[in-house]
Amino acid sequence: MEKLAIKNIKLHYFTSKGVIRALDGVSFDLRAGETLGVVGESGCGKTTLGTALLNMPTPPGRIVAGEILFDGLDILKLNEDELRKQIRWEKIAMVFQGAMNCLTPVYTIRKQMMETILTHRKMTKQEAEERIIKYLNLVGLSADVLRRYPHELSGGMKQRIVIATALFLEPQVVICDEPTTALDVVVQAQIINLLKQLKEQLKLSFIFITHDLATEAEVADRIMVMYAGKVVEIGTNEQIYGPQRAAHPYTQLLMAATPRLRQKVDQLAFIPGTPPDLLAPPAGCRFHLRCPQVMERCRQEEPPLVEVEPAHTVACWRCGHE
Amino acid sequence: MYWKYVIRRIVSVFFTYVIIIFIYSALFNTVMEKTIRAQIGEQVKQEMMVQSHIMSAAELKRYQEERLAFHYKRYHLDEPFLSRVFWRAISTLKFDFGNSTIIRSAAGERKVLTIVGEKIPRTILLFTLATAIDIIIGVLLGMKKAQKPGKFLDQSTSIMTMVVYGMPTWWVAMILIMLFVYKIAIFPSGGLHSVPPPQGFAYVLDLLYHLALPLLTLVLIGFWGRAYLTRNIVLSTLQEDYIMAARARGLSERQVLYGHTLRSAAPPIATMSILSLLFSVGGGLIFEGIFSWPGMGNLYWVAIQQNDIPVLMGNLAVTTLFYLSGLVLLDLIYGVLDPRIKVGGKA
Amino acid sequence: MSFKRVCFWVLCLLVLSSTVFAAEKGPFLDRVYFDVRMQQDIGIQDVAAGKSDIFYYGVDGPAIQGLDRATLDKLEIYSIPSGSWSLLLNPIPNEAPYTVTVDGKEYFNPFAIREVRFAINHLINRQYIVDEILGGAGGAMMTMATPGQPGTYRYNLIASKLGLTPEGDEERALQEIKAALTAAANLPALKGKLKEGKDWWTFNGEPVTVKFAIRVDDPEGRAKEGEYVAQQIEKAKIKVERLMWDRAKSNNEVYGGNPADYQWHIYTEGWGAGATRAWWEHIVAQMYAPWYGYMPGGANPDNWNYTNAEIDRLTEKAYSGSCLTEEEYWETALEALRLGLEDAVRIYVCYQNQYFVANKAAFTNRFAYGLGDGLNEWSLITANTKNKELRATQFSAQGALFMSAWDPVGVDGFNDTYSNYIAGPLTDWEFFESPVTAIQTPNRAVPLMNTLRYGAELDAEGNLVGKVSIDPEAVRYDPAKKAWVKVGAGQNSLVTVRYKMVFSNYHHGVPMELVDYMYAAAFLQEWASKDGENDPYYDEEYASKMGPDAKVYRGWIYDFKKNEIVSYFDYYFPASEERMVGTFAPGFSVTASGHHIGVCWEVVEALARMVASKTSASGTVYSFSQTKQGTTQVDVLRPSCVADIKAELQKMIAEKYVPVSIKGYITPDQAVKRYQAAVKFIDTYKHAYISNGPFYLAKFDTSANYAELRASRDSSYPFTGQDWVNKFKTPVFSIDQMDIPVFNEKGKDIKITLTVSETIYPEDDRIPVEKGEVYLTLITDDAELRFDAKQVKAGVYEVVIPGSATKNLEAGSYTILGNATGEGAVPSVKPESLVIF
Repeated sequence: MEKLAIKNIKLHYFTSKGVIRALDGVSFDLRAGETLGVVGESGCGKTTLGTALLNMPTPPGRIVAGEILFDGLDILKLNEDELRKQIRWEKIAMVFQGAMNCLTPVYTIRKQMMETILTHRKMTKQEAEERIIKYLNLVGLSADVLRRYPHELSGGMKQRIVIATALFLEPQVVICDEPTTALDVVVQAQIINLLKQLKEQLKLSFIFITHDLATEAEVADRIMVMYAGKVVEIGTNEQIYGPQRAAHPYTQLLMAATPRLRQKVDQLAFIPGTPPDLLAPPAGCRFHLRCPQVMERCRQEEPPLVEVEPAHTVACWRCGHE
Repeated sequence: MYWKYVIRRIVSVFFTYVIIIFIYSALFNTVMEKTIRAQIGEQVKQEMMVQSHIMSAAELKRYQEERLAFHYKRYHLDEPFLSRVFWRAISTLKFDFGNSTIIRSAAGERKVLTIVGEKIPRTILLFTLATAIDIIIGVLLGMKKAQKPGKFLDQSTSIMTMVVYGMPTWWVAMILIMLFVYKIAIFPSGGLHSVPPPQGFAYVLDLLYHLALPLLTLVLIGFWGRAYLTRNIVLSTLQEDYIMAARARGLSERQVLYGHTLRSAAPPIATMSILSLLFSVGGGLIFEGIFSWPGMGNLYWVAIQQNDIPVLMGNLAVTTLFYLSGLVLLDLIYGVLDPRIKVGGKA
Repeated sequence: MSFKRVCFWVLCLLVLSSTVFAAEKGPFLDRVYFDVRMQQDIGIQDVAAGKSDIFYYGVDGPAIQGLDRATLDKLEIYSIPSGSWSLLLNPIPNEAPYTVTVDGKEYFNPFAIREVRFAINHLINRQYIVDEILGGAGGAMMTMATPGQPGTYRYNLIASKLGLTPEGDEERALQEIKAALTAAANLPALKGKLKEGKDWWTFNGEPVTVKFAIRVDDPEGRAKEGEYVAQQIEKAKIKVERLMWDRAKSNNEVYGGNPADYQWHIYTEGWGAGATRAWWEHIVAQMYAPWYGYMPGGANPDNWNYTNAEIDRLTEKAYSGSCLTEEEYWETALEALRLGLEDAVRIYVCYQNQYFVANKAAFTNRFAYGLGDGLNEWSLITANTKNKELRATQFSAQGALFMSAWDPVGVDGFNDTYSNYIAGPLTDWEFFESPVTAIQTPNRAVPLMNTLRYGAELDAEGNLVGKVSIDPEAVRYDPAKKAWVKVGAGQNSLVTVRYKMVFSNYHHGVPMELVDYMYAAAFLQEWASKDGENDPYYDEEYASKMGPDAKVYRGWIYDFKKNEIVSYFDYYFPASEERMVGTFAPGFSVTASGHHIGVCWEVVEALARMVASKTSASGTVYSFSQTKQGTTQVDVLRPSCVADIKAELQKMIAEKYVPVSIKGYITPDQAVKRYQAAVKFIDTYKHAYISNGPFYLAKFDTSANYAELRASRDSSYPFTGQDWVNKFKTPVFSIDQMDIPVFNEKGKDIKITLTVSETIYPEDDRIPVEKGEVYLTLITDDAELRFDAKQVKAGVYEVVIPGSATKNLEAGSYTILGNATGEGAVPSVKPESLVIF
């Protein structure tokens, strides 16, 4: 059974300007022990997805439809209290962009980590501290970061702390939202390696959200490509990144737009146009306005996700539809 | 390191204080001199009128000269100007406020320290207590508003804030007095005590009974603005990523709101609060008059009316000291409130 | 039970009930509570709501006018004329050709012409000012004598005789000013320079301008008054430059400056309320005589001064009491006023009313109040409420009731109104000024008028010399010898009279006796005279104030058997025997403050010992002065001083001390008993104000600002509340209306009807006059003709001016005066105009 099965999630933001359909029918699943990468442009709904999975949409957002089944249990049906006590951080944890603003600046690291542990588990301060230090060591930090304030630490250290915090309750699913984006390359590599290592050690399932295709290639077992609030393609790492080109035109363009190390290019490829306005998304396939392979049908009907080969689904009229 | 900063700060405030006291001294001794002389002239004329029953013409003239000399001496106008300014400032700084010119304390003492010292507890009992209650109510209400921005509670209280903000305190006070003292006789019409004042513990209760309406008035007017300010500060804090992260970590709403949010919003709220608390020692002139609650505000006004410079200087020395201490205090604890701020300059 | 037994018990019952029903001595009220409010409106509302019974502060017209009907109905209002407004003119140079040179430039001062100044009386409509600016809360005033005060009508008669009326006469004024200026323009010195233009009179081509100093810090009052008067002056084609000045600037320029600086020509003056007065000669001096220092120039030799030698002479004479007879006194004072009015350097405009409010429902009657100054101690003594308790709220901006030291000796004691309101009812003086007539009335010292003798003559220098020979056995206290010495033969004083003393017990239970008066007389002499360089029994301020008084007393005879005192003294006032015997009657109080206070000599002596020896139990050095360096003013309320007084009294008990001035007249044991009683009082009531009045101070709390007075129900107290009420009942007449025919032919009878009503002070219900003397005075150029009126019915009188009186008169407007007087009543005089052609 899948660890996590997301069925047709719709998350809309109800703003004064209108309804922004940030996630408009997203479905996928996560198997135990695998890393699912989620890629897409800015504004495609990746981070929203992360908050949706914890049922914590940023106001004024609301999940209006769908199911999130964790081990078969629909967590959307749980109330806030149950979510807080049973799901958040216990079963599903999130690693934020640590270098940014996700640690409260006025509390020490110790206070924040202790608070988190003691909210979830009944243990003595002693025990809590031991566990915290254990995980800090795991991420390669010594115990004396505990007495520091977030602003006193470097980006890499903060990221490690965030990871440690996410892990010390031993959840089963960890959602990583752009964990390495704001870090320099060297640190980036360190964090990636760390994550891989931890996944092995602790038998975790990851959802790795990023816009950086290269990183994704490194860590993900399977990749899910999102565009304008919809899933356009899901496939294995090989299938998406491999020499055989990916199926969806968008994915193809994404790949083409990524600079390769050994290729000389006169001009970087890019995808013309901009992502659609989610207040009034285009009819039919959301990509059709920018798709180089657009057909008449694309303009009218929205393509469903169909399996084009085992473990590879695509939502495109050109793929798998004869 | 920190201690060096503390010492430097205190020293600089001390110098500011000294300069301010000298300015007060110069100001009062200059500006008031003309007024005092004019008032003395008038007063002596009145005295002459009262005494004119019996005296002969020559005696009356002599009486006038003596009374003029007496009054000039009493107001120290017979001393040279600079010496007055200087010595008044120096003794104020030593907190040797000396004796007042005319004003007496309740028990009849003329020591300025006694006179001022009497008014401070009353002022604190009313104004500082009201400010403290205001802060508590304001901050709590503000946080509640920030939790559901734009909803009923937020909108209705914001409208009330606009309405109340435009109202002068004395006007609200008069309305409340009309309602709750005369129309529905719940509260006394003013003063510190009933007449005759009860003995023993009932004396304290009586004081509280008289405190009730003015305190209520001040609190009713005061907390709206604070709530509004708090709401805005907290609201902007709530947008921060770390708040969402804290929620994601499964922390209870209470922990998130009163812990992470409030703590992060502490610096501006603390500034507002501490300054208000310390400023409240100055009392409120008109307000005290309406409720016949003689405090520091009233003392200031009476001292100006009666040209009682020692009392003025004493009053201002004390309130200025409170203000400046507040500023220093804030400076020093800011680092504690917000660890991002490196107190003392370079890290 | 036997018949005898029954009789016995019935008798007992009767006796008992008679003591119960016998009139209680002392005031009606049992208790009086004082508290304070810092806000005038709240004070008024408190009284209306019944939370307080009297608001002890005179509020002004606008405050009363602003109240709604419902509130006003609950209030009993006591209306008293208080402050007044006048205009002061700068008359420099007060002689032809009326020009002044300032900084090389020549100016023409229209106010230098007497006729112009006097015309301003007619130019302003005082009634208009009262109605429009004061909202009716006041009245027109033509002289310094406030109408409604006792003893003023004779002075105001002078104004009426000079033709001054409340409405004025604008036409006449403009004519008179024009005539005066035209006459001036024809003077050789001004020929060609002073011309009448279309809009303005011009001098050397520029408009004749007067600078009007208007008090800007009284925006609702004098600022408006000034603007109105300025407009009126401009109607006479004299330009007015309005200077909006505040109090400080006005005082400096007008009172402190030199009129020759030409900075101002006319100023809006304002005067506070004075006392209720019966005798106004010193006010005439103050307001019209240059020597007093209140006229332009301030009698400062460095300035140009307005002078009038005749007014100076007359007022000094009346002031110093050098008039030998009553007629001479009145002639002098009234003539001085007439000259002052004619010179018109100070022109009175109006008086303002102030209002004291009381809660109507709480009282059973209206209480006494000073006709000239409002609430005073008589108010509390005559007040009667249903529950015998009274709550009085004072108004104090500082929120304090005890603002000056309760110093029973010094010049500065009890120097604030709040203390006076509280302490006044605690003391009985020997004489007091009646609040309604201001006549000196005996209280504790009753003069035996058949023993009154007075006589004076003028010596070579014009000083008064007495003709009454002093009994050689009479004594006076010699402070240098510290003993009573006989006056000896050959001494004369101006007056002598014998007083019968009315004693009671002091608040500490000790009976008053003659010895107390000896002490007081000796104290006065001792402390007002400096015997040698280091006389510790000497206070400068006390001496400066009381020195003249000390010289007045020439000798005493103390009759211990009859409790009577004979006094020989030098105070001559033939115009009023009451004043003569009352002003310097013997008193037990030694205060120099002029306020109605006094304490028993035990306390005074304790204070005196501490002041003289510069020691006290606490080490504080005391004095009777507020400003003496290094000393603290004595205060019988201040806890620290009271403790010292008690300690001093205990020392006096231990020493069996008797003050040197009464040694031999009281035994040490008697003295010790008195000190012990005083100590007991201090222990009980925590203060040392031990006096003889109808109330005593039972409780006071200086931090709660509250004082409680309780009635002294001591059976030795001589008066009941009803006694006072009866004493003060006085009819006050008022001529409400005079119906005068519009057209009157000379030679024909003229019938005039007068409507006269009275109020029985202190009540204010108007009732028509039943019994009174009503007559009309017609003022012609030659004489004043009197015509008596006949009563038609209650309150309505008719008078006929026979044709024979008017036959030979010139056609024109004549002043007539309606007069209504009665036995013991305050009279009313109403001036009107009568047109005859």
